[in-house]
Amino acid sequence: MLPDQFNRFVSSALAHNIVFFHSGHLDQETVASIGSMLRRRLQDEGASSVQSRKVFTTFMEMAQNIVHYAVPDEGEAEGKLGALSVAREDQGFAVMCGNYLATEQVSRVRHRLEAVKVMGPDRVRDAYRRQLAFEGTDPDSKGAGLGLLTMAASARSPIEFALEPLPEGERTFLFLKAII
Amino acid sequence: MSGFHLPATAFTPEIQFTPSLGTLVMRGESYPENVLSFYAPVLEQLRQGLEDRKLPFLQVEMHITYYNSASAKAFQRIFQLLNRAAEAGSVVKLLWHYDEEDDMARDLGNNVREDYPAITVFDMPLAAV
Repeated sequence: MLPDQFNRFVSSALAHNIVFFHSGHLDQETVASIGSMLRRRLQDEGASSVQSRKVFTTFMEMAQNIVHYAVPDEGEAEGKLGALSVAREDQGFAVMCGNYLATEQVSRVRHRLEAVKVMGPDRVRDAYRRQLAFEGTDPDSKGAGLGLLTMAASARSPIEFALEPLPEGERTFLFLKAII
Repeated sequence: MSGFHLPATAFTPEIQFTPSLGTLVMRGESYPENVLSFYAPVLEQLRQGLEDRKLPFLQVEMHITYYNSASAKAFQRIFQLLNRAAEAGSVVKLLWHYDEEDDMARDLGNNVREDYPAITVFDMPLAAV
């Protein structure tokens, strides 16, 4: 990257009010260290303690989703890859993530995202509580949908999402955005 | 004595169970990579400890400053064990510490009160700094 390209990159990040950005491998250690970095950044940004907690909670659920469900990028043998970002927007902090999913998971994920999207805050709380008490195990879900409900309970508007299948067919790009 | 002590790590809370004192203390953050593999042995030791010797009194202190959604689920299993011990005759008190501005943590304490009625729950809201 040449100095002027780097400048453009930095200016673009500033223009989009990016508070935090990480793209690449994610594992438990990385999640812990970027989590504490994010806490510091939110403090510097003057976020209230309520807002900070909700941003952090949402960010951590997204990060842990990537660690559990992401599939490797093309040409990568293994490893969990994903992008995570927090930006300041007019309505609040936007917490966003993007990663590849196995296409066979898409209908389950879409169904869940759509179901939660139409719930108001009260139904989110009820669903969260039901999932918490649910004793069975869903073999495809390590957290039984609780992670998504946690994000929805933290956000001030419904979680936005996009699912874009890659031309090769096996993987689909998942984008999530929560406004806190 | 069938107590145990796990030191805190970056992702897991300190857990100290001391049957001779009738105390269980959990303190720290909880977001282990694999919640099951961390909490399954904890639950097993706790279950054995509570069965080995019927405690007249158990005071449980939970100071979990951050827990992920999967940990919240694991806590339900802990509350189940505690509720069972209380139904078997132990007096079980839960001191549920949380940030007073944290709605979800406050609700979790309220859920315990409703779903595990044999446990006496004390809300311990901490004022935000």
